[in-house]
Amino acid sequence: MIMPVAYIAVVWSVPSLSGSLGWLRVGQFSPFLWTALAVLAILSVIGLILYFVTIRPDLSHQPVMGSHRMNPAALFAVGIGIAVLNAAVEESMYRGILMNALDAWLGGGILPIVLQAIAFGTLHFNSTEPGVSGVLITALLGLVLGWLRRAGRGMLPPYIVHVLVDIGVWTLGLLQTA
Amino acid sequence: MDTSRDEASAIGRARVLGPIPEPGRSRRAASAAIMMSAGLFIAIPLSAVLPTGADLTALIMRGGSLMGFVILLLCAVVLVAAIASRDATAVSIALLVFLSHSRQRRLP
Repeated sequence: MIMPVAYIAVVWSVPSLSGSLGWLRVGQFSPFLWTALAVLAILSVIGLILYFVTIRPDLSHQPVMGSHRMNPAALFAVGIGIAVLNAAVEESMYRGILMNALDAWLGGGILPIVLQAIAFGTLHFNSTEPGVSGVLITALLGLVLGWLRRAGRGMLPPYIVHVLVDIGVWTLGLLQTA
Repeated sequence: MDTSRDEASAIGRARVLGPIPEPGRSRRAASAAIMMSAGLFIAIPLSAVLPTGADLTALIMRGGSLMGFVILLLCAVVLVAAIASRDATAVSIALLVFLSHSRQRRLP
């Protein structure tokens, strides 16, 4: 958690860098976007369950999950908290700072969405969803989140789906440890 | 006084609630810094491996700890290049890469 705090401290304290936070906006919601958001959220959670059932990844090595002093309800509440925080950090990094920079370099289009999705995938190479299958499934999710960011022109649409998927990952990890 | 404060808060609300504006196209030097940052963003997570399952405490660097210093050096070079380009977006992404991946040098 030190890294995001250090980043925000530097960017906010250097006046010439504060202009690079233009991506920090909720976005525009239309009926089409709400529908797409709902459909993609459902598809993402279904995809996660299929990944869990077919690949059988070890999702039990998540923070706090090994604590036997918490009851399942408390552990689930912790999982929601971690999902809310983790999604905020990852969305800021990948759909915020990285995609904004790629848009400035490539001038929009599909390539920034693809590149940030690949980066988001490789981030998970040694993460909760480890290995090549983890990279592929998270890169696919990165494409969905990147498209939502582009279509909604804001950070809230991908953030909502990311939180739901993270809660799903946490729940599946809890089921594995049970 | 109250009116100007209301106007300021309305402008602030509109800024946060509104859509993300299209970022201006970066110039050549800044584009190069962004390209290198994106490359590091993609490649650096692959530089560490987990020899035993999903236990994240067991992470080690491919090529040993020296590789960690090489990566840190690369990140620093990209950050300096971004600062030299005087582009806020390029500095922002290079700074993020430098901060988020400087921990790689502490891996065995």
